[in-house]
Amino acid sequence: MPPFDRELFDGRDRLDLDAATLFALVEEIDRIAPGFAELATVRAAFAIDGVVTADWSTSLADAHEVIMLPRVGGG
Amino acid sequence: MNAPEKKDSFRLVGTRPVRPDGVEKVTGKAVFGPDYKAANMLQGAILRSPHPHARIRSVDTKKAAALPGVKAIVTGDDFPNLEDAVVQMGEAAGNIADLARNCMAVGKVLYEGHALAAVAATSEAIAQEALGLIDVDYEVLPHVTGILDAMREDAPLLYEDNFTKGLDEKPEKPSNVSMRIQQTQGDTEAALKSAAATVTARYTMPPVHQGYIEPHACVVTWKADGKLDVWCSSQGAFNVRSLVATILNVEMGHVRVMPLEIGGGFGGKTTIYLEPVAALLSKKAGRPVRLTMDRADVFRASGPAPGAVVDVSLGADAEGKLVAADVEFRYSAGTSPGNETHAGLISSVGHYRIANFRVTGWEVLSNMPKHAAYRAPGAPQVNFALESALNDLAAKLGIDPLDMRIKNAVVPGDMTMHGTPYGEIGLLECLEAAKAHPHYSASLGPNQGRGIACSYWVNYGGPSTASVAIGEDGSVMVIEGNPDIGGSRASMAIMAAETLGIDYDNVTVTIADTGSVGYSMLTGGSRTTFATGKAVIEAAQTVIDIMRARAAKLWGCSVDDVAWSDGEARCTGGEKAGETLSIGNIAAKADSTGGPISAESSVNPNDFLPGFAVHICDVDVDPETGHASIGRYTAFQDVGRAIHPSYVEGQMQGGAVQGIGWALNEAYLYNEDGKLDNPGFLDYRMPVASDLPMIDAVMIEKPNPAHPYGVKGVGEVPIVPPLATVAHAVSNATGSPMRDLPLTPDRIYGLMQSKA
Amino acid sequence: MSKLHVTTSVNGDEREFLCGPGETLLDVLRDELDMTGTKEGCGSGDCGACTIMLDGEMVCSCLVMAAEAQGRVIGTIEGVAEGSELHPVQRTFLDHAALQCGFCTPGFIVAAKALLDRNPDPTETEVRYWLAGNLCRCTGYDKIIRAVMDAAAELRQERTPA
Repeated sequence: MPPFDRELFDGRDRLDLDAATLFALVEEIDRIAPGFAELATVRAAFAIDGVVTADWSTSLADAHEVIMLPRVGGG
Repeated sequence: MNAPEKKDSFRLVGTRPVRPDGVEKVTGKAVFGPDYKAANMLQGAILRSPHPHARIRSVDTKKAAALPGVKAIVTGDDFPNLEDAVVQMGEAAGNIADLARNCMAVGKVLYEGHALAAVAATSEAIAQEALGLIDVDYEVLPHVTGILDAMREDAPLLYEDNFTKGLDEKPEKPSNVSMRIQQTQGDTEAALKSAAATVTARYTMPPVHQGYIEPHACVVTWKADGKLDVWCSSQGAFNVRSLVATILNVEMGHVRVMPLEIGGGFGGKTTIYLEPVAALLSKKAGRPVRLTMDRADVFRASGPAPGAVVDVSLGADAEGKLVAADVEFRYSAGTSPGNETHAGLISSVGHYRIANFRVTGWEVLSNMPKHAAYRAPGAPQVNFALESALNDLAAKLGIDPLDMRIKNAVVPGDMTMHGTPYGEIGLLECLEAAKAHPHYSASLGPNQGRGIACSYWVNYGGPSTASVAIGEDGSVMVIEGNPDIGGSRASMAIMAAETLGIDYDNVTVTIADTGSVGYSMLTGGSRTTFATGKAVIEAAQTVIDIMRARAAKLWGCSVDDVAWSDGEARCTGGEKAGETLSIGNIAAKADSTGGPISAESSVNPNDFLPGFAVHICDVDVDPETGHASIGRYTAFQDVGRAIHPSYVEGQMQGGAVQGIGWALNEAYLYNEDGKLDNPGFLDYRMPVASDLPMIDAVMIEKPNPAHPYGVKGVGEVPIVPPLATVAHAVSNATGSPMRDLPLTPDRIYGLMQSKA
Repeated sequence: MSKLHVTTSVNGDEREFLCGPGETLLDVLRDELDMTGTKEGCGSGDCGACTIMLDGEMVCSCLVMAAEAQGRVIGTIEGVAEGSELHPVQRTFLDHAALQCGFCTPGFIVAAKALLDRNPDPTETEVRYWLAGNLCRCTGYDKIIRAVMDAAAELRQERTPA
């Protein structure tokens, strides 16, 4: 995880979690870091094994790594 | 989506037709933000704080209300009480309560020019007179505007409840620092110690304004049925809709935003200032209300991009391979957090392969207007520092600065700072094109210097909707929701006509209001030609499928026996083999084959690719005055594929010149009283025609394989390299390093004198 | 405060209006005469978006009091094209993509036409200095300068229009 509301995670930048989809993953992370889910809807993007994915229903069955990216605003 | 097979044999992609809205714009008929009038409209005016920081004890509007012709007065008390909530704003996110309080102060004013009351009256003169009759009792508070001043422990605080986010532990005391972010890789300190050469320096720059020539303006009517109509120019009517609806606590569907032509935005019109105020005035008055900013309002209360203080330590081995970068940057944000600090982080070192880095960003609040996005927001500041240090490092090692970059440039498959691999990027191609260009080897005279720099911008995709409709006579209408800020109607028409196989002139493009087409994210982030273009192409392909089916019905054949080529249906099997039907033929029979022909497509693509740019600049420095003038300028950019090359070149040239202004002239100058000393174009000196040579734009076309026509975003990256490029050139001309912007004559002269 | 009655010629038409003593010609053009092709970028004569012709001289209409227009001859962007026939400067602006947002464009076209009316063969430097009072934030001026040079060539009949 690149820097993303770090205080929610006590400074941890890597989590090992089981989740079937990105939706489930966000719920899972929200359990560890309450408030994350609300922020994620407007602030986070996800890359599954290196590919940025907008569809949160994408299966994570074969995924090794999910990277969380802050959405960066353009001008 | 399938890409066309013969990617290099397009009929229209890559041509330069006249833009669809061109004639309206060269004849003065196009209706921009301040041009719109509604029947029975009132004129509004806004009272702005003369103090950079003060508590509002009371606002007495009785005398103003009694002035004949005054129809409504609004203060912060009239705004719904909003909870802090992070919502989508533009492409990123922000706190809606912060935005509402920026539209109209509640409790405190936080910068000179902060709105705190508004009047609507039957004329501009009466509205202005009424402002003078409003009595405000201020308790003036200590203020702070400088970044380092605002970070001091004893600095006046904007908010008692702001605790720096992003630290490992929540701090005990509040401060003006809203956020720290950090990303590390490897062991930066050790790598710097063992490097063959290192450069360590501090770089600074004040905030600058986007400088669009059209001031903010809107007309709003809050109708008796509770619905609102908003006419304004912005980078995104849907963005205006959601922000207005949320701030005013009304249903989104009850707010209809009509996009007027936009007179420049550059990121500065991705937010709102006037619309909720005009709405509340209209609600009270029962009539449409117009609000406009004058130029001083624009400078004092909108805009600026972050000022910055950046420390860089950069190390390389003896061959010039970068081994470590330690970057610590502090960005101003004005009165509330923004997104530039995140963007600064990911724009800092990701365009080079560096095994060890530590990048730390601090976002600092102060008594300046809430900052707004400005073209590649957050990238130019940190890039100026890193590229300047890299130029110094190359000089120390005796390596050509372009060779130094070629040795370290990222290539497809290397990792971004996000941790995802780069796709088909063309940074190396840009660097090699710059090296081979005659500009780079041209000789220089006395007092002349040459500079280079290169840069990265992430770009974006995002949600877009477009529809393609076939008229009864076969004419083709593209309807989309992205304001055309630099010729995008032409690109949409080209892509639609290319896909349909018809002439460019047979396509019209309409930028629809929020009630007339599905949602599109705003025009910004270099996303429109890419993402909305995908929606247009997809809708056009669907329309082709519909027309093939209709032709099959007319011919009585299977749809599999209908091909689409050169803008017409062609029967390929059965009795009618060899016959053709034009779009007009099919449209004429539309009602008897199933009804009107149209398709809407909504997309949310993430397969965008970043932009890269390399700039070369020659300057002449007058040794008598220290004045630097641009002698020659060449911009190289990985543009994917240029749909309309003239407008791509235009982005490169315009971005380069904004960057030149940033490097040489432009600055927000706050005095000791916390007031802006230069809120006008005379003293906020943007480049004019006589300051500049032609800007040579060299497009490097490395198509994006994920887009049917190869589009990559092009709008933002060109503003990033000029800061370091110009500074490098001036440094080479004078022999003194240039680390503080802007490079005004007095600053350059002073550095030349102190060296002598 | 009583209003002033002004009679003036705008793009060849006689026009009358009432104005306050503090109103600028720009205010009247935009708000009274509904000619919004002339733009306000600054109101202080620094951006040139409000450029018009007054008795054959190029001026910023934000710096002219409306009452001063009495008996004068005004030309605005709305009068540059003859009917639907664009002036060569307007056409070359389109051909060269010399506008992006288009907000500064009317001022540039009025100013460029004024230059070419008095100097049909300007150098690039002359064009750059003549247009130095017009701000454009989108284009970096490159394509604007090329468009004006090209229009000049066309007016000198050194090239035939495309």
